[in-house]
Amino acid sequence: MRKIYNSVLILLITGTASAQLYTPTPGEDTTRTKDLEGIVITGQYKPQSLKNSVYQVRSISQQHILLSGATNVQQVLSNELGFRFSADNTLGATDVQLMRMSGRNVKILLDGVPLPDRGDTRESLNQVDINTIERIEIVEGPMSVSYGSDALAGVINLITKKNSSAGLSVSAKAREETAGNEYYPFSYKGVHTQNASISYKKSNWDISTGGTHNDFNGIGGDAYGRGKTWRPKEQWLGNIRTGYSRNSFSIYYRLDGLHEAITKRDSINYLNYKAIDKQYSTNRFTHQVQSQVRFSSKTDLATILSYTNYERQTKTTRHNFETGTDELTTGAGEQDISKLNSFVFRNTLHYELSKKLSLQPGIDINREQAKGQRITGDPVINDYALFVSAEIKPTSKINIRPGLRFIKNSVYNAPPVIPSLNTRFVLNDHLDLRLAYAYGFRSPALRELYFEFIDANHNIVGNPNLKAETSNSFNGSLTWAGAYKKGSHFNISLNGFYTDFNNQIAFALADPVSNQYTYFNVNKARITGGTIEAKLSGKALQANAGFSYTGYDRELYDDKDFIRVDTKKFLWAPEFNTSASYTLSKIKTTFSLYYKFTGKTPQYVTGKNTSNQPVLYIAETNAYHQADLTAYTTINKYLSVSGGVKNLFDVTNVASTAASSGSIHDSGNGTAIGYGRSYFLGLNFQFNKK
Amino acid sequence: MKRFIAITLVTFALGSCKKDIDPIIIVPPSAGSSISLNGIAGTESGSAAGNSVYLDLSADRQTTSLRSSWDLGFYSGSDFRVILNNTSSAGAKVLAKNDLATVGVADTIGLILATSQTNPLPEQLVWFDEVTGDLAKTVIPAVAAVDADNKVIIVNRGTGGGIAPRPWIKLRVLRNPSGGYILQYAGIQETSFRTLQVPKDAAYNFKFVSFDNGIVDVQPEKERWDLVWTYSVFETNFGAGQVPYNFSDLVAINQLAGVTVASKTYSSAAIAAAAYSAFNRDSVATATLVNNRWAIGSGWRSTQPATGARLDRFYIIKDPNGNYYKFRCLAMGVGADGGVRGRPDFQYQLIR
Repeated sequence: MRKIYNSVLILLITGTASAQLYTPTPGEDTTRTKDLEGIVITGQYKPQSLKNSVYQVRSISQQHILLSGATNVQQVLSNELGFRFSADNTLGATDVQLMRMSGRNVKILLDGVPLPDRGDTRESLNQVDINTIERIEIVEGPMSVSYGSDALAGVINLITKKNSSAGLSVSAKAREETAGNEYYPFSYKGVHTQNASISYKKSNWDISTGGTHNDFNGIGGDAYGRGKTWRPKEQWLGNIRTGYSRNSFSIYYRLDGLHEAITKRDSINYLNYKAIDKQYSTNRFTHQVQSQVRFSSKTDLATILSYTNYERQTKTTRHNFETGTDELTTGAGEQDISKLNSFVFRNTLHYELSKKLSLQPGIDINREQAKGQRITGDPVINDYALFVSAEIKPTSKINIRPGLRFIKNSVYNAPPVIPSLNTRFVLNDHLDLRLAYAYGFRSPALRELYFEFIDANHNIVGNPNLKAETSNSFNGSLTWAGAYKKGSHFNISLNGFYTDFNNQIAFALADPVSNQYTYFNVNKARITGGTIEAKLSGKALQANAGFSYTGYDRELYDDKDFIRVDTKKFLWAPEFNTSASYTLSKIKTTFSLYYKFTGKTPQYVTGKNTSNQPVLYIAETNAYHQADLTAYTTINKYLSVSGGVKNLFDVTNVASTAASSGSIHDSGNGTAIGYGRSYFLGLNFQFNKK
Repeated sequence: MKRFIAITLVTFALGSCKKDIDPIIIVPPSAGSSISLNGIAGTESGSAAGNSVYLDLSADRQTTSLRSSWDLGFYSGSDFRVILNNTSSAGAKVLAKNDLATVGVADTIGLILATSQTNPLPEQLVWFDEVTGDLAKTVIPAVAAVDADNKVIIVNRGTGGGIAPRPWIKLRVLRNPSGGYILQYAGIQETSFRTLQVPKDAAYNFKFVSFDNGIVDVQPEKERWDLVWTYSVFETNFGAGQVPYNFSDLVAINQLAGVTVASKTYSSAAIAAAAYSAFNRDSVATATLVNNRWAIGSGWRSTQPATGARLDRFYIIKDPNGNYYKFRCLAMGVGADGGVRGRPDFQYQLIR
């Protein structure tokens, strides 16, 4: 199988290398390297400098990604304030938390196109090739007017690379990393990554393609490589992009493909010499066509057309060690194919009526279909939305952006209108104040509407009468930005936020006679807090530091059914991060250090006390430190080498006082944060020809 | 150009080594008998296996009977006792009346005579025979010698583990002047009733009756089975005291015929395996044998967390003829034990 993928990738790469297509795209990216502040596009009418953005946007540059030595998006984000990741070692998947809210409240976009997931876990974040990412933009708080459902806690927009310079560009990378202290060259143990990409641009045309192979061999296990605590995960990622652009018109097609296999090989039962193997294979294809037309200096039209096809197969086999044979198992859910497809059409017009007033009306059509065991039928959800926002600039120092979104959904009663209001006030040349209110929502997922799981011990069905989860978010920030000396840039910002989450969907007993459980809009949560962040960009030194303090409160629908052991409202947790990169130009080497402290984090959990009564109590996850140290050195025009140490503090599982089962206040296994200190070395090849 | 292709080829060749080949393991010869119980009767899921499986260790024999194949068991010993079908989770209530003809739908109002897997209540316990199998604590009282003292009983035949609902039954049990029992039974709304004579047979613990088929074979003769593996109504604690709750994969001993059992639990599977091999006739003296019907119960496996057969323990079983066996589970099809749910694998060996 692997051989076939090899051949396909090689064909793709060599095939396109000899093709004679080509193009330059004028515009948005050319200013990137020049502008120390960075350019952002998420939520913007057109590419905008961070300083002028009406949203408080965080942008992670390609240079930052490159220097960090990350092999997936998660590794980049885990150093950022507000982000936490926890691995589900049973499924080998990892979910993101933003502002202490779980992944289902976070919207993941690839160039503005939503990446669907089959469940609440945002696996899609790690199913995108990091080598094709130009930068990552993060907006905290709801962006539901622009991006629709799920954008409750925030949006992560992965912006892909676009060819900006004419000529041929070829790159290849190979990277070897230990997984904790486990390593075997190129296979068996550790993490092995290879990547190749090629792009070509001539006159109005550009074409590029690339592929990446990520091979993580898991951690732990016995002499037979079975019973690993972290599941081996292998990914093949490929992308192809072709674009045309000319003066006032540009269009491109892009395809991102993924094949992922997570293998769970359980230990041998030495009483019957049998073992159970599970394989979760995922295929994901995202097609997108995006175009931009400039009708006049005052009118632009942006169109996105996208189709995602997702398929995940669960295969369970029983291996017999006496005979060497495998047979399929027959238990419930042990053989399954879940399918999901989604179609997105989005048209946005930007019209500048005057210097003081711009309008941006748009339409957004989403169609989603799911299929699989435990889902009734092949349900389809169609969602039609109209949105409009205006940018009002009464003076050059004031920018007010009100926005509205109107939704019609084929299945559930969507909130009729979603409002938002963003403002930016220029207090002086260096100081900006931003104040924002936004209303966010999350549509009930297909699985929450159409779930069906009835057997001897379960009676759970979906609820087609669910309403959307909603949030109200208030946000304020004060930013000072400026040069402290020539060629350097410094900014510091102070943020405060408050968000309440209503109608959160949770399980509850629907009918005490048949004992049927279903989903209801019953839970509530609130988050509040503040951050202070400072960033310094100089010629040789890039540094930043930040601190956040976040409070989280949760209200359960069935509080009355639980004995509240603790009565505190907001549960607070601190985070601190800092990073610094310094370039020694004499030896053409950049050294980078990333550090993050995640403070002790309390949260409400349910459990049972010693009398076996249900209780609601505060469980604390211990504090932990994360740090990476990397070096990047340029050998010659073609070659560069990177290396470093990741997870310097050797973090594995972080203990929590939440009970794993049974009675409270005994320490469970905690949260799987990492698999120990690892070392990596990578070789990068780069060739450019005008 | 060649150079790029070469680099590309090398890059991807690095990732293409074959790995994860499982070896063939030469298995050491078994020291005892292994048996796979046929719990699955048709196409039902293994967690709701349709069969109860009776195991006779000395004869290496299993006997299966459908859980839904019987409704009442009539005790063959000296007492006059009737049991409900625990394996279909049948529930019953004794009425104050002793005339079947006067019992109708009105007498069923407010009765459920069943429990639920999601919201079982402590007050529902009274509908089921006490799980210990103590014949003095059955729902149906001892059958009195004076016919008029024998009240009408309403029975829900049980839907435990995927058994399709069947109409409720009203019944009375009397002593037969010529020995054994007389069963009178009818549908709730029927005005006449059927009568069945049920003799006592000393070779069996019980004589079994189906409302549909009369006298039926369920258990083997009492000396010819030691253990039964079955789905059954049982008890657990949901936080507010004991409640009735249906369990899959329960193992009961034949305590009425004098079978006793001792549990041996160790700190790991490896230690338990070594102790199992080493356990001999001299070790029997160290084992405390008890006649608790559910001494094996559900403790031999774990479904929550889903780790399957508990390999850290084994059992010593004394059969009705005084033979000692060591007995352990190999796999049962939950988690990664490699078994099939509803077809549990056990191993046992006579201790000489």
